[in-house]
Amino acid sequence: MAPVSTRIRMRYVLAGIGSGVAGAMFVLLFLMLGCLWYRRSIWIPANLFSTAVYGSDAYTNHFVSTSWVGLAIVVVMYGVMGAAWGVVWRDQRPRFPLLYGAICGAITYFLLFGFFWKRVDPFLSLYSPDRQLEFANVIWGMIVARSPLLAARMRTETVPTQEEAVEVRSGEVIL
Amino acid sequence: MDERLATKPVRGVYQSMYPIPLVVIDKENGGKADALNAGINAARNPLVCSIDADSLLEQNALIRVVRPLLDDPERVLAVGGIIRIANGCESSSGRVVKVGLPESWLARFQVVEYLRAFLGGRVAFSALNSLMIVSGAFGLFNKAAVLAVGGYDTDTVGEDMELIVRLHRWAREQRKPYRIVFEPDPVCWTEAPESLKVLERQRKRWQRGTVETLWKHRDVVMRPGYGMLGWFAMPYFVVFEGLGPFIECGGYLATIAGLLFGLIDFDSSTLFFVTAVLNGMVLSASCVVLEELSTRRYPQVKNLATLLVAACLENLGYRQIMTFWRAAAIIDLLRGDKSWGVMERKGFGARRVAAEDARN
Repeated sequence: MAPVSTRIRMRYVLAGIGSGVAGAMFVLLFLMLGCLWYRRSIWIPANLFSTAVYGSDAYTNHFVSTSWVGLAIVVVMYGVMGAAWGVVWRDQRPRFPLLYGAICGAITYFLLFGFFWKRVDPFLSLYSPDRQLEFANVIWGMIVARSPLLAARMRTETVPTQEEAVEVRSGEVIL
Repeated sequence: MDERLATKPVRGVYQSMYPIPLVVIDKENGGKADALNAGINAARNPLVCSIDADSLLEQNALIRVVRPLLDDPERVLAVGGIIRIANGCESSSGRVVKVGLPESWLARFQVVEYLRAFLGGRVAFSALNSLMIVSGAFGLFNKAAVLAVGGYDTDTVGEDMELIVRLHRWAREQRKPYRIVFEPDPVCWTEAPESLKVLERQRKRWQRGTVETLWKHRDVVMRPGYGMLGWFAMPYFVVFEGLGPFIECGGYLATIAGLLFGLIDFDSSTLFFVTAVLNGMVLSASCVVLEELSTRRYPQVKNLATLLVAACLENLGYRQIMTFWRAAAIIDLLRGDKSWGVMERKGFGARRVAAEDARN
């Protein structure tokens, strides 16, 4: 079993991943609705992300096996970003969490689409719907801003049992 | 060479493979539409792109413009990109390297006019799948569809609009689900006339082309089976593009005559005129702001400020001159004028040298 202090840090990561993945679901749904609005196939966002692995040939308007990879990339990417923000925020509850979340979403957008994808897969960067993604990322950030709440909810589950408390060295602050 | 589209005789075809694959066709002069048809005959791939000789494509413009055809290859028949004014920009090796505004107000008014036409009108028509024009300066087409409708019409000076209307008709008559799309991202930079004489020739030609197309396809107007094309786009073009100049000129003349003979109240007519001008200013300024919020190519704040001033000023004189020329163009057409007119160009050379000097 992992030491208690590690488990405590893990809850920030887990809370971040949880809220990040929930946000990723929103991003995917929003991009799919955007496709419907523009009379495009709803599978285009998933296929667009799958081009990061399979190249531009994967960019089709049908659901194909590679679409799963595209969906997974979105979930993993936003999950990881959520974990990062979860660790940054820890238990802090700012006065305007949604505002902080929106700012973190905007920063995430510029990190991912203004920097990361531009270098890793220029095709994805070129074909990604800028305005939709900007908006979706801001909302994603607002969802991730709930991660301190999730972390607090997990706190009760990470309170050490008597046996576990023995592992804690004298004087270490665990909560 | 596949000769599915009839063209003037081809004298020779020259091919180069280095540094890029390039095919040059030497043929007898038959006009722009005839040259484009020869190009389509020579094309070996499923998509064909038409670009004007006096235009420069932005980097990635081709990749961007092909997106709708990749998204929906079965239905998309044509895609048009946005055309922007290159006057005032610096270019190097066939690319615009520094975006700027033209120095002359005449060209600045055209910048605003282009923004209004593309970001206002074409986006809306595209959303309703009733886009009537894919600019001849930059358009991407499904080659099979273009061949099916017989290519460009060589008997009109508005061959770009005519082809699009024919594609609409063909798809609707075949009951084929289709889309003709405008994409605001792929940019083609083109040179705008900076003298009134050349601008007059260009605008009169455009107007004649529009009216010729409307007349040729008049049977589509309000006919069941043509959907948005017949019930919205064509009537809109007939009223605002075909009859609009006469209605506007008639309005100006009637107002002046009414004032001279004391038939209309001065205050009311002034108020009406000011309202109309302000409405135009708000529309133009909105499109400039829309450009800033969406595609955003002008880098400096002073560019935006200059464009907003131009958006206001173009309603005071420039717009009226355009209306007058458009009305005159219809009269020319009725008289049988079918000339293209000589288009004098400054070219990108001088600016290009300046840009290269600055870099060295």
